[in-house]
Amino acid sequence: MKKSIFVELIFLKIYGGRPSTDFSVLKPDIEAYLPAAVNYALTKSFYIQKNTERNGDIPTDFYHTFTNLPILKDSTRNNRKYVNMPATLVSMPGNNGIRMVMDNCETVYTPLGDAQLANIDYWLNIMTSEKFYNLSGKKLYIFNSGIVEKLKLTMIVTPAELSDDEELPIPAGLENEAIDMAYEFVTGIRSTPVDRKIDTRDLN
Amino acid sequence: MSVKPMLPIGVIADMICQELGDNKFLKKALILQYIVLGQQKMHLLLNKDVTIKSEVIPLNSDLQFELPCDFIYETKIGIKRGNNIAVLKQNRYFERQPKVLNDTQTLGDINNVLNFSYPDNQTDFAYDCYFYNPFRCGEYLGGYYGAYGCGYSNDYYNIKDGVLNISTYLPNDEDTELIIEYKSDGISGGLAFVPNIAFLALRAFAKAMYNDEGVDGKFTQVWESEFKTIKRMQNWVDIEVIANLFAR
Repeated sequence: MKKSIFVELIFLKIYGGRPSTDFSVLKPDIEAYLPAAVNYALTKSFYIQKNTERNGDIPTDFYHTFTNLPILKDSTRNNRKYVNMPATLVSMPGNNGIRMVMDNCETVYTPLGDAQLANIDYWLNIMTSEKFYNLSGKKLYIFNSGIVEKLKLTMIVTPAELSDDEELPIPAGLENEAIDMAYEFVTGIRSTPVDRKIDTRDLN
Repeated sequence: MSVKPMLPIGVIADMICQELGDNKFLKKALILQYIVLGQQKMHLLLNKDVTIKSEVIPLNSDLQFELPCDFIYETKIGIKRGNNIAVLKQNRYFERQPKVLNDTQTLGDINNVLNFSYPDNQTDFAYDCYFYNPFRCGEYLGGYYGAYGCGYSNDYYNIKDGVLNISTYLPNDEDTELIIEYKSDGISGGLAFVPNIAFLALRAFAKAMYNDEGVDGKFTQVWESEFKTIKRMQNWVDIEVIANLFAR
């Protein structure tokens, strides 16, 4: 479902298709709530999949691929190599929003948890053929990368940064739930006070 | 003797991740650590097919060399140029003083092997004394290092106080390198490949560790039976070896 259609559907549900100058909920308001509704649907889908198929998989067409990300060096962390995240990652448990990290030689990197960072130097000396990454804030650190220059990243971008014509990452079957959530949120907003006084000033 | 097929440890970890339904490899780093520990555990009891490796040592001019960090004891030491390797003999009494003597005779002797011009009356070539499982600075060189053109020279080496001393000058040649084949502790020099026969055992070990199984666990039992199979296969003596014994 495209982002603009999702917003229009909620708009339609609130006002029934009759445009009015009295609208208290505007499209930017709905768009602002969009990430919350989409994150809920994605995370629910993740746990449903984990309970049924035991894999926590997300449909692969939701992923955006960013190529040719330049590798930089972080002087504050012992010149560790990193790339800046090209977009905001959707916030899912265990960084599940990142599907894959590859370099320009098409080598797949293994994700490292923060607990594994504690003894990573020991393991890097042993597992010399394996390459790792660790996400820390807006930086994606890479380990054992060798002489590669560019990185390729496949990830789910948060809906706030999608354009109107892009598909929202809502798994099939959970669209209605996300729409209802957004509807309930925006209709719960207090509307502007009604101006009952007949004078030359119009509060609306 | 055929070349043993080797398998990258990353491939085993990838397969276990798929079996666990982890398509994003979130558990791969942990599984890799279990595989390394399994290999180390198995390593203690197996023979040379999995525990011997070779390492090319950087050359220096004073002929004393630091040993690899996973070194336990050496099995063979050689000097290679081109396709030829001169294997050194061990002499426990040999000790090189820090000051190097200018001994051109030892250089001439080793050059005989490396140039493949060893005198006929001293022929001591052993074409099967290849160096097994070789690495150069962590890079796996593949196959048997120097399987063709290998021969014993009359030069000596000795290991004392963790330092390797050799009795010969090294040919002044960019192509020349020193190689040591040794019993390794299995992992500390870097583990990239394991023999194919160890696949099922390491997979079972990693899964048993991941599941936190006890002695009665399913994968613990698979690990034990596979490990016994590997030990049985490793202790299998080639019929050619027995034939050679009786031929003497």
